Amino acid sequence: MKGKSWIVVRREFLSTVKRPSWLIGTLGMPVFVGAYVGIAFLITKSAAKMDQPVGKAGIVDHSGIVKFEAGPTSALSEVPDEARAAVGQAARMAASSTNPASGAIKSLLSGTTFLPYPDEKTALDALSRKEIGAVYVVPQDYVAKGAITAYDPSESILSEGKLAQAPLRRLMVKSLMAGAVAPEVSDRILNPVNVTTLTKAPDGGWTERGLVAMVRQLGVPFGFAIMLLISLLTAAGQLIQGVSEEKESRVIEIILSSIDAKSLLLGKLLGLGAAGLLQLAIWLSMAVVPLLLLVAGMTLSPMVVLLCLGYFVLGFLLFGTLITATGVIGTTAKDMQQLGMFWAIGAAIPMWFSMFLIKSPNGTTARILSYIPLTAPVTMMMRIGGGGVPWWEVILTLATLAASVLVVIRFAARLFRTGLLMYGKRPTIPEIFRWMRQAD
Amino acid sequence: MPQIRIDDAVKAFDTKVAVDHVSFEINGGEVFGLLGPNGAGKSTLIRMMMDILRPDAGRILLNGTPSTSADHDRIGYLPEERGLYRKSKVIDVLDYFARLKGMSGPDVKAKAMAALEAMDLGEWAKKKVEALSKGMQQKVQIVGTLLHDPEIVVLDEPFSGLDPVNARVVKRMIADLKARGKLVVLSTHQMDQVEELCDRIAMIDQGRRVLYGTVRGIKAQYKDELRHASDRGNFVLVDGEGDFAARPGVLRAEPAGVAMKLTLDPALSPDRFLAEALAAGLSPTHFEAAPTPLEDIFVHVVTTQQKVPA
Repeated sequence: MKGKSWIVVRREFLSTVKRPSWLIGTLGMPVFVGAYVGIAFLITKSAAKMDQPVGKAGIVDHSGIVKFEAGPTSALSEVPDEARAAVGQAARMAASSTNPASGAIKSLLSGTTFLPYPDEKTALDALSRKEIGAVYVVPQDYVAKGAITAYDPSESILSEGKLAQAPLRRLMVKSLMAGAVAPEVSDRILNPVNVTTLTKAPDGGWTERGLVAMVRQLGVPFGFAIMLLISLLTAAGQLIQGVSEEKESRVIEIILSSIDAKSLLLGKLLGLGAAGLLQLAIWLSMAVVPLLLLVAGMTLSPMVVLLCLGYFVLGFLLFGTLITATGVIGTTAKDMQQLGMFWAIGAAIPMWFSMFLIKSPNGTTARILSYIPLTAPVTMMMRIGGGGVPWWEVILTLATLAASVLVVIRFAARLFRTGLLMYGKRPTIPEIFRWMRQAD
Repeated sequence: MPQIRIDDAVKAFDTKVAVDHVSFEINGGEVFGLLGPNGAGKSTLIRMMMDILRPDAGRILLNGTPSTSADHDRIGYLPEERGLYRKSKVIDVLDYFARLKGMSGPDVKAKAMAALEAMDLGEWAKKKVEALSKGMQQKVQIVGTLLHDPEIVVLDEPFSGLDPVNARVVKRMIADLKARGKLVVLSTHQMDQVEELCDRIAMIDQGRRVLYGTVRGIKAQYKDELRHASDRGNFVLVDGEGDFAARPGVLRAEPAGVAMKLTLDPALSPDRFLAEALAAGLSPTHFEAAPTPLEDIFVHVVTTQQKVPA
C-alpha cells in the first residue's frame, strides 16, 4: 500500500503550502528581515552622518612622553593577516556605498593619525572645525597615574574617539618603551604570540588551518545544522498540529480505515518535510546564500552540500518520526507539542559540544556523538565541515542513521496507530511497550 | 457476494476486555445489526473489522481469508464519531478520502460532485466544511463512505444527528445497498431502526455476544421468557370506547401513537383480556396482541447480564 503514501504526501504538502500563514511566513520573513535591516541601516546612517570618522585625532601632551609617528597608527597588526584581509575585502565591497560602517572599517584598517596640539583650546577648536574626530589630553602625571581624558563629540559606537582608542594604546606603549628597549623587542612586546595551528589532515600529514578558513569551511555545515533544527521544530510543530486536528476531529478513523498507519506516518513526514524544505529553500535563495557567498567568500563544496543534505533528510525523518509518535500519545494539541518537543533537545545536544567538534572533528567526543542516531545528523554536519573525516565513517554513520530510521518508523507506526485511537486518556508506560510489541 | 466472519475474536485494552471471544458471520445482501449498550465493545469490534485494530486472539476473515490492509478499499466506513477536515473544501475532502480508498484518475472530483448533487449538496461543494450544518456534514460523510462503491459498508450510528427527512434518505440508501448485494453492517441504539432495517442481528454486552440470529427468531425466542419475568407480561395495543386501562389485570398503560399500549398480568392472555373487555361492554375499534418489542429484549438481556457478572 505504499502508493497511498503519495496521496498523503500530496495532500499534506499542498494543504500546508496553501495555508495563508505558511505563505505569509515564507514570503514575509525575508521581507521582514530586509525591512528590519534597512531601517537599522537608515538610522545608523543618519546618526553617523555628522560623526563620519576622519581618521585623525589630536593629542595635547602635558607629560612630554608621547612620540608622535609620521603616519597613522593602526592596532590591527595584532590581528592575523587572513582576518585583516577578510575585513579589507568586506570594506572594499562596502567602500562604494556611503555606509557609515565602511568609513569606520577604513579607519580601523588604516589606523588613526595622531596630531600634536599645544593646548586644549587649540585642540578643541580644531575638533569643532571637524579637522580631527577626537582629542586626548595626556596629563603631566600620566606615568604615575595612567589617566587620559578624551573629548569625543559623538556617542556612536563607531566614533573616532572609540576607534582611536586601540591605536592610542599602541602609541602610548611604544612611547613608553622608546629608548628603554630595543625597537624589535618593543615590536615583540606589542605582538608577542603569533600562532600558526597545524592539524591532522586526512592523509595523515599536518596542515595549517587558519581561523578564517575554518569559519568558511564550517559556515555551510553549521548553516545546515541550524537549518535542520529550525525546520525540525517548525515542521514537527505542523505535523503534530495536523495529527492532533485529525485526532480531535476523528477524521483519523476514516484515514486509518483506508491506509495503514506506517504509510500514513511516512506520507505525513515526507509531505511536511518537503514543505519545510521548500520554505527554507525560498528563505535561503532570497537572502542568506547571496549574503554568505558575497560577504564571507564562503566556499561551497558540492560534496559537502550533498552529504549535509543526506544527513539533513535522514535526521528529519528520524526526529519527525520520534516527535510524531511521542506526540500522538498526548490527548490535546498542547499536550502533544510538549511530549514531541522532548526529542528536539536530543537534536540540539551536539550544539553544546560544538567547541569540541570544531577543535577536534575526529576526536573521541565527535566519534561517539556520530554513532548515536539522535546526535549523528548535527554532529556529522559539523565534522564534515571541519574536514578530515574518513570516508568509511561517513558511510557507516549514514548507514546507522538509515537503519535507525527504519526501526523507529516501524515501532512508531504501531504507537501511532494505537495512540491515534486513544481519546481522553494518556496511556501508561507498560501499555506503550505493549503497543510497540503488537504485530503490524 | 462478500462475507465477513468474526472467529473467536478477543481484544483487551490495559485491563479491560473490550471484546471477549466473539464469533458471528455476516453475508452479502443482508443488513446486519450490531447492537449493544454504550461501551459494550461494538466500536472495538467494528475497528477490528476495519483493520484499524488487530485482535489479540481470534481472526477476522473476509471471504474466508484474514483481512489485510489490502482489503481497505473494499470497505466503506461511517464512524460513530464523524470526522471531516473543517478547514478544507467539501469537494477536496471527498477527493482525498476517495483517493485513499484507491480511486484514481482525473474524474474523482466529478464523481464526488455527482454524489453531492444526488444528496442536494451540489452548491456546497466549494464551501469549507465548517460552513455546513451538522446535518449537511453528516450527508457529506455518507457520500465519502460510499463514493468508492465499496462491497462492504459499515455504518456506525448512521441516524444520529439526522432530521426525519434525511433519516429517510439514509434508510432508502441502506435498502438500495442491500438490493445491490452489498454487505451492510449497521450499528445503532435505535431499536425501531433495527426492526425496520435489519435481517439479522448480534447483540454485544460487556464484550460478549449475548444475542445472535434473525430479528424474528430472537423475538420468538424471548417471547416466553419475557412473559414470565415478574415485571413483564403480555402486551396489547388497544383503541376504542371505554377505559381499557382500568380493567383488572392491566399492570401498566402507556400511549402508543393513537392507541394505548397495555402491559397485562402474565397470567392474563390477550384473548381472555379482549373477551372480558367485550363482556364488560367496552367497544374496541382496534385490538392487537403486540409482539415483544426488540427494545424490551435489549433491556432485559442487558439487565440480566449485569446481574450475573461475567
